[in-house]
Amino acid sequence: MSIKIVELSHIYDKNTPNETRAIDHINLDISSGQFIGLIGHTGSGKSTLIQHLNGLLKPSEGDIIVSGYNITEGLKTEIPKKRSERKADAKARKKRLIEVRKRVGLVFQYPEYQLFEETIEKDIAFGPTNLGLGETEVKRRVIEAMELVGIDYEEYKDRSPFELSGGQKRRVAIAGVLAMKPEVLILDEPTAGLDPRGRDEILGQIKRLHDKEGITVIIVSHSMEDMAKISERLIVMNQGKIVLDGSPKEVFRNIEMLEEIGLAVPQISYLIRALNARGFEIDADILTVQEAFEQLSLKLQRKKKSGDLC
Amino acid sequence: MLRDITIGQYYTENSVIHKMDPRFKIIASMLYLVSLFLVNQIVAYVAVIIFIGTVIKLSKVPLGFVMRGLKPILMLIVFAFTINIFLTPGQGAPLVDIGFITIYPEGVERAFFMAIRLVLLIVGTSLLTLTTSPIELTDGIEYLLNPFKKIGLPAHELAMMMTIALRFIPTLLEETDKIMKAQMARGADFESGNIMNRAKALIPLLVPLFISAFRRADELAMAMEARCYRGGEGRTRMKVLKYSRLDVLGGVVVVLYMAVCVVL
Amino acid sequence: MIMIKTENLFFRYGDEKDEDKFALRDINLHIKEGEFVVIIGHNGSGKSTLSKLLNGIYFPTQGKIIIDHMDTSDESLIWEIRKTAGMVFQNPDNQLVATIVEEDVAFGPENLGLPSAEIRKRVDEALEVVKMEDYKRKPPHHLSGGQKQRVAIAGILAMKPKCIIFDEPTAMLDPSGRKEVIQTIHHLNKTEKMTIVHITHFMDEAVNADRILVMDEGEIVLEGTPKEVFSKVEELRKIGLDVPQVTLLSHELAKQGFEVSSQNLTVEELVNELCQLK
Repeated sequence: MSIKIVELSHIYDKNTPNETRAIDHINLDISSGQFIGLIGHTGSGKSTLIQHLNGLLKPSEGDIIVSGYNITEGLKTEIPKKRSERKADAKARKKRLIEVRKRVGLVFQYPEYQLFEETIEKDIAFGPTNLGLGETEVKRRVIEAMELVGIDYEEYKDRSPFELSGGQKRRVAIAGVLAMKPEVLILDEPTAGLDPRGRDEILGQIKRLHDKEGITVIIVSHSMEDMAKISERLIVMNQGKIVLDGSPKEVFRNIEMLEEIGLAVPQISYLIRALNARGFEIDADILTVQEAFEQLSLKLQRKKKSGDLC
Repeated sequence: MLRDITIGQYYTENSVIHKMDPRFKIIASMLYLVSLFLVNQIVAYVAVIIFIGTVIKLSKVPLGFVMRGLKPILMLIVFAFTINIFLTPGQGAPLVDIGFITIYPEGVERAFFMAIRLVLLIVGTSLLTLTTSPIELTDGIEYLLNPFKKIGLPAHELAMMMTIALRFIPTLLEETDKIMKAQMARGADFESGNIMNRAKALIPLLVPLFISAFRRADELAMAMEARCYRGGEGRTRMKVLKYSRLDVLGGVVVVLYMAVCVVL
Repeated sequence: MIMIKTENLFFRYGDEKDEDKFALRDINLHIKEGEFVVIIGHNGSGKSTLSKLLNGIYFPTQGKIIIDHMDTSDESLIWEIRKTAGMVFQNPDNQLVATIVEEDVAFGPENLGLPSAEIRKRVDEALEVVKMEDYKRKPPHHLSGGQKQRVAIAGILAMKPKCIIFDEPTAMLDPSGRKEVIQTIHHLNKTEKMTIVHITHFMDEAVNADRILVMDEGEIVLEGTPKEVFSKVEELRKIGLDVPQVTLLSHELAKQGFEVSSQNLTVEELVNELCQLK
């Protein structure tokens, strides 16, 4: 499932004194099956961008094409004046939006706050039922989605979602979107407010899902550290524009720029930079503790013999 | 779409009207409302219009801004106008008499006055909220209700409730927007279908919203207690309301105005 | 002088049927005046429960809590205790009461029944300490998360407490908001000489503390300076907590037999050590 974004802009409060360009002529190609980290500080436009991908916001300019299907078409046109036409238009829109939401699933920040049904099964079934699927298919999908997030179907299906712990609630909420079987899954800060263990669990599950089902995943995050670990491509946004785009290694070469736009760079990147300033000659694109450890122990062993390090 | 709603439309300015004591402004507004029901002659209406026009001018709030308050009740005004023009019986010859439609001069007069009265009423009250910040307004109400504490009216509690409501309205509106979007992403449809379907479609919005409101209330109560809140007893205020010379002057003007209204 | 002391503190929630299921178990704390203590633990480890006991929101099931010589179970002292040990909560939205920043900061001192000139003075001072004086006439919903949290801190400061308990004040903030709040907390401890109890699950916020307490399953399982605590890499990972990357790397290198201290916390410390390894 590929995504192509062409010259996309979004302007809030157009023609008022508060007019702001939240995203500014964005062009982006995402090929099928990629695992992408979308990074930027609050107000950089990343939330606005992902809401477009799901048809929740209408672009001011530009197009979004999800595997050949232009999801912005028919959203941009003005609502017709005539009553009879308006009804037909609303119907057509609804149909289009269902098509969009079948393809692109969006999990909002703190998704546990959207749970509302009496039982977990009913809540997860909400999405697929809205897609107009039959009962057996819905049930099949609920079972599958619960399995994907590691919550036992038989044990939990009749329980109230409000009895669960914070981390479990979040996983049920994510299952609610997974059950719609999107080909592109977008998550807005799925680890916000979780402790390190909860964070690792959720990210691990998303990673496994990506590897197993081959779907395209876009995770919006503040954490360069987490994204460096799991994504294959990082897109950094600032002031409505894409400022960096590439593999984690490529992106992390621009420490100065990342700092300048207010993003926290992993401690290990600072360490490598400081060591290289003292003449260590370590690869500048090391991202993880493991890589740093391997290189350093190799270097240290060699230097132990020859004797000059700094 | 929900962002467009602004509650307690305060217009930031530094005019004499803005500087007046909220208590005085509340009382003056009430007197003004009374005056509207006293007058029933063209001269008197002219006096009222001159008065409120001067107040608007002094407040430095643009006229268009004041008039915006009329939009939501435009239908009501038109309705009242139509009802009065057609249904007022008159003694003299009718102005128009076609079939079942008869319009008397009295009807025209009454409809006209009714419409003007409604417009003046809305303009007057919106002027109060435009020139008085919500917090001043609640403070004013609390002070004015204080004498009724003796008969068991919880003046402080009412004012506190109003403050908290004002504080949380923007937060809850934002939250509504967020939950709505989240459910729409799950295929929820809030826009089409008949009334029954639409009401049902609101459940996925209302349940999370209520749960969140209760959670917020719970946490807020805890935070307030942690900040030593124990009701109005023994509580002082940073800003103490004080009548100034301006309010005395305003008082004189209002009294004069009321006298004119009564006489006319 | 001891600011906070708990003796054999046990706590069980009122709706807990299981008599043996304590949310907190045998907690003994000694927090000195002016100390900066960080409590870390994962969600459900009991750290938030503990903070609510210190402020007199909950009361011990067994044992005692003494805040600045006052026993929290003495109901007549409750307001004095809350005034002495102020508390900042997690959700910035759910602790601001008023529609204007300075009115909110005034809320605490107003509750204390202070004269209005004194309140005015305290509000201005408190907003200056958290560097929010330029926003005093703004409504809270126009502020960022970090700014709201600073206003909440000012609201506590205006009550002139001796000690502030922070209950995960950064959990809902973005990195820049977190930085603002952490800098403010440090400023309070260093410049204003305030006793600080900071509860968090972000280990990087604990690096500059005087002392770290690690909680798990309602008990304190590790205690010591940041260097002592973070060098216990295996223990921390077992209970699901992070370790600073530099510490982790130092630990791995030390395990391999290199002469690196596993107590390194900062980039500088490790760089200096590595440079001496000739």
